[in-house]
Amino acid sequence: MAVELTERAISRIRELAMKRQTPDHVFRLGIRGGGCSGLSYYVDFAPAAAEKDKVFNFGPDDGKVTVVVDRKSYLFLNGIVVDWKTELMKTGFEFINPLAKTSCSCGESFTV
Amino acid sequence: MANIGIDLGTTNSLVAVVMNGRARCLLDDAGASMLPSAVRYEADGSVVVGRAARDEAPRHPHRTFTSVKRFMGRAPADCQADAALFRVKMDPTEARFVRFLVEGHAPVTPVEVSAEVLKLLRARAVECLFGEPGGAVITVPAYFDDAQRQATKDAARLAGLEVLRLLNEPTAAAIAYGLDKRGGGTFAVYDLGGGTFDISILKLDDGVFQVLSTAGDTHLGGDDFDRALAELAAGGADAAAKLDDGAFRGLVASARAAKHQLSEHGAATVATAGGDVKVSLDAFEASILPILERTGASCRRALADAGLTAAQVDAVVLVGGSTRVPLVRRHVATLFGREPYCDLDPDEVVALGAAMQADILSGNSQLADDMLLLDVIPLSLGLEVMGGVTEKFIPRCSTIPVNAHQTFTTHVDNQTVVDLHVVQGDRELASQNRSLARFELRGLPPLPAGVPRVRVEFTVDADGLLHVAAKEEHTGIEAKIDVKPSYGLSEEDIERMLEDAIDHAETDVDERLLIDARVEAEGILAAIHKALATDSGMLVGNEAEVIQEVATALQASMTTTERERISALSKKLDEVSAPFAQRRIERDLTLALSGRDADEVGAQMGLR
Repeated sequence: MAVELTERAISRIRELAMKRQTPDHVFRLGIRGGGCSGLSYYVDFAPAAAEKDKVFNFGPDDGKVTVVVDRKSYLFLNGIVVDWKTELMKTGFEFINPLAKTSCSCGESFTV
Repeated sequence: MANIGIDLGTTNSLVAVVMNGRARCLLDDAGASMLPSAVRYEADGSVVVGRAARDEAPRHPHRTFTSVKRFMGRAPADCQADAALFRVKMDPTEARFVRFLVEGHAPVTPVEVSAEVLKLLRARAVECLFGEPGGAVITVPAYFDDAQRQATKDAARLAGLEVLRLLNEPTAAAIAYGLDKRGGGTFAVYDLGGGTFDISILKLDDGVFQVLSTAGDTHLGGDDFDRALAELAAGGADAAAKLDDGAFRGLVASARAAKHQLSEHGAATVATAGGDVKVSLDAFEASILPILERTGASCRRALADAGLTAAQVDAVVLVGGSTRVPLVRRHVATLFGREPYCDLDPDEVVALGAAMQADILSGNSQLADDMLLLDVIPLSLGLEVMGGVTEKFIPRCSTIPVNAHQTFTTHVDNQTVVDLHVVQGDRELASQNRSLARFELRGLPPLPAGVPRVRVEFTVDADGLLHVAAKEEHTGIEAKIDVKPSYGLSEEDIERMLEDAIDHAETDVDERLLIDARVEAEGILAAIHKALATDSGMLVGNEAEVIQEVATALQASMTTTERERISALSKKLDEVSAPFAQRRIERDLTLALSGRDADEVGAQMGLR
């Protein structure tokens, strides 16, 4: 088990890193309390992985996408698949979390 | 929520943001930082902004607007010449402010057109920052008057941006080069854009920039270089003048491409109607010298107005894409007797400076050169809320100073005291975190549960001191406390507390979710009991038994740790009592509509 990204998610993260002019930054995935269903996901870029972070690399070396997850968040994200969706009603990252028992309709938060 | 900096330019606009201590421009899909300040209004109401609008302008001359910055905050009578030059039609029936006529569309103001450009830059920031930007610093020319500045602010507001401050463009450029870090000095900012030239003399005193003088030419810039090169290639101004509009435009476009080649390779070819013409760098430089002489005259005037000589200027900064031409750099070096600063991209420098200013205004800047500002909060700071759960206000690793607030309410009817327990740590349960302080907000008026609005604000100042303030918003009653969170905590303590948070993460979160479920159940049960006590006469059929049955089951489940069962029963109780609740609301509304005193009804409904 680990963290998985779909091809679409990888290319989206790469594109965002380009637009922010931070190609060397890592993509941080985590959880925090709150949201309509208990816990919610958050994503952001960070200059580097923190000590003790779980680190996952995707794509070829010259277009590498690095995802980091802090240890506490990882307990609730192990096995997650992150996708990027562009749909009429919603454009954004989608989280498919096998550990989530219920998710709210917006998909931003979940309970375990 | 990072603050952003925006350079709202005549020809191009940019947005930049400070990320991890460094200002960067945000790019579009094609990797470009510059967004052409061009807007086209379509007959179907849609709006095209940027490169497409600019490039397709010749095909849609009466629906496309460029250079609208020239019209911002000005009266129609004052900009007839620009309207003629840029071929835009102003609404002749409106004498107070400029309104452009748009083919197949309602008239638009320069403020509305600028807002479209700003909206797109804002969207770029939302995308790259994963959320709404905090506030924006927007740059304006130093010579903008109050009306022009107000118009810029209006455009920003229309675009949904909160303007933290308008910043003079030359000041932004000076900030980008870190000149604000010097104790003081006198600086010249030489800004040669596509169609405008500005020279500003700035004085820095105690960290505050003052504009001593400005001069320039609102119709002088890189476009004139293109035209000079085009005329050179066509064999003279007279020959170029004989070309028709389409041929001349093609020639100028070819000259513009050749200009970039010239600076790099020393020679270039320009495609003309009579074939390719080779132009040497010397010939090009000779052709643009008269244009540079005009900027030199402005520089001397600005210096004279500031009462300074060129030798008294401590640094010269170059801004604008046209300063990439090597001769421009040499010319400026000669004018001021010193090499100008040109390390940063001259197109981006103003936006970068705006972003740095915006970052400093955010209060948790890494750029502000006070060592204390680099301090971070070692452990999260929060408040104990209903059920003993920690509500985090300030997450750990936030740089100080930092501020956060949330609004809470009461949990039981007629509660007059709110107990505030400030805790430190990353555990979900307040009891497992370090208790920092307790205080009370007293004297609340007796009101139904959920009605009072208690705003709690956490502020950690530059000295690391935590100030917590609670205020009931209706009555203004407040209470506050100051604590030193790091007092008595060693590195090992902090490390141990963090390890605990990780080790207990799973059980903590489980417990928290269980408590959340119980609190929610309590709330629903309290509401049901209250409704049954006052309005049992409104129950129909076997409703009373059904509600009572579910309520009893829920009450029983709350003593267990079966979180999902509690949640399910809460939901079920909500469902089976919904028709009863609906009838009560309808009754109250009927009472309200039948002419009873609104306050009386409101009180009964628990709205006051």
